[in-house]
Amino acid sequence: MVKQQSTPIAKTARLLDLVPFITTHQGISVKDLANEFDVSTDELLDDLNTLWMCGLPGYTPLELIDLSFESGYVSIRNAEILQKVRLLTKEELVVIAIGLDFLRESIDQDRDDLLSALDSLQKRIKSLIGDIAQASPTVDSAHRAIILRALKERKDIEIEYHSLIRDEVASRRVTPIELGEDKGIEVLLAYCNKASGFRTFRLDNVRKAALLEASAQIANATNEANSLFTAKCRINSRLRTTYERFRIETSPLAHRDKDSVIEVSSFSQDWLIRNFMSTLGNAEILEPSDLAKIVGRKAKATLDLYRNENFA
Amino acid sequence: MQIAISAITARQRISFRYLSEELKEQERRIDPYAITSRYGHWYLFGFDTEKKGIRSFRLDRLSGDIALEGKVGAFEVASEFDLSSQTGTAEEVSTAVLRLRAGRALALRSRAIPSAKKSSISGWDLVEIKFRDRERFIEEVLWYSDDAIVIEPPDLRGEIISRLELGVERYG
Repeated sequence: MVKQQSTPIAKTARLLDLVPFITTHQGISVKDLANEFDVSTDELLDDLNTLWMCGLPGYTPLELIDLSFESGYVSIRNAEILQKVRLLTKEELVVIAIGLDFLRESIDQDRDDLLSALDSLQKRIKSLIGDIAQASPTVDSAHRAIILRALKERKDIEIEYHSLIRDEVASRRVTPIELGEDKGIEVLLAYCNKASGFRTFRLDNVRKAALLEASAQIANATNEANSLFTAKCRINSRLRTTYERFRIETSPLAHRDKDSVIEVSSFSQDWLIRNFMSTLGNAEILEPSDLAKIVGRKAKATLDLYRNENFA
Repeated sequence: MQIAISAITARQRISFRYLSEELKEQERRIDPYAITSRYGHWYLFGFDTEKKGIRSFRLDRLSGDIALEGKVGAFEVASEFDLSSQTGTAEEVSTAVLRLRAGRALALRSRAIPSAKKSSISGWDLVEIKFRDRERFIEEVLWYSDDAIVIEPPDLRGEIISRLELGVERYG
């Protein structure tokens, strides 16, 4: 029987369990160890290769886990060193506190046992370092894990995606191409069957993700996505935030006028329109005039509602 | 970030160059209190020794390295500072009442609670939304144009109306 590849969380849990188990079962065969942990020998060897690179802070060869398994039998040669009681520095505790915040987000919210264990650990750490570090992850790590698995196994995924531009949550079947980063935001580049084209999805806007059995053929990709909309505008105030909003590099403006004229672009005209609505007070469209007219009509329609007595 | 964490735990004053809203580099000197991730970015909180108040700094807006200044254990964290509620920081929480078109303005809607007042317009929901950063909130409401209308408070509503008037005047 072919064993299923484990999820990153299951793998991490196994890596943590492997060290004490090997310590008390020195010389166990690779095959027995794989059976004990219910994984294939290939996956176990993959685990051991990972463990071999792990260890304790300091990360000198002395502190790394000194594993031997080439002979087909597994033992840890520096078990005594690894079992010494360690004191964590405050910096290490801060890193652990942040790590626990991320871990909390990825745990099934029904697992009260794990959540309460996390709580008490966090409380103990905070009693030592104070409340000086917090992380609120914007991306659900379970979604990232599913995407990575789809990439590895060349499968499609079904995502429920909140599009801020369309202002809707919709389900789409997509073929993942790569995970990347766009100005600090994690994004997935994928072929979207619904749009018959390549699209970029922000991971923090993925509401659900599920692995599908097969991958659809990418065919008939339209070039629609390739038409870039560009506009020239003057940013009058709130320069840094507005530059960041339009994804323009924010370098210090030395010896320049206060006003700054920039060119902004996007594959989505709606994105530009909404951004120019948001920045009515800070940015002024110089060209093209048809884009300015669309924004003007939207502003007019909105203003009409404000002037409607029902909305007073 | 590593330097920031070690300065926070050692209670050591730091200085760095920070990109201001006007895109100018400022030299800032703070007693670092805490770090946190919000909206996908890392923020450093601390007492600004020149502005004499608690400020937050987005780490990716720092240019160059953070320099450690002076001795360890050089300050005590201000007693009014609380990272979870961000009390003691410059911006306080306000509440706005909005009408949202049914099924629209999803991101605003996800933070909204139904308003105690009765809504009388069909196809529209009356909700309350809390916000901290006024400018950021105005921009978010405008993003949804005629799907999100601010009813209260009057100064916020007035500010949005004047921006819409500016838009109509420029592009209409």
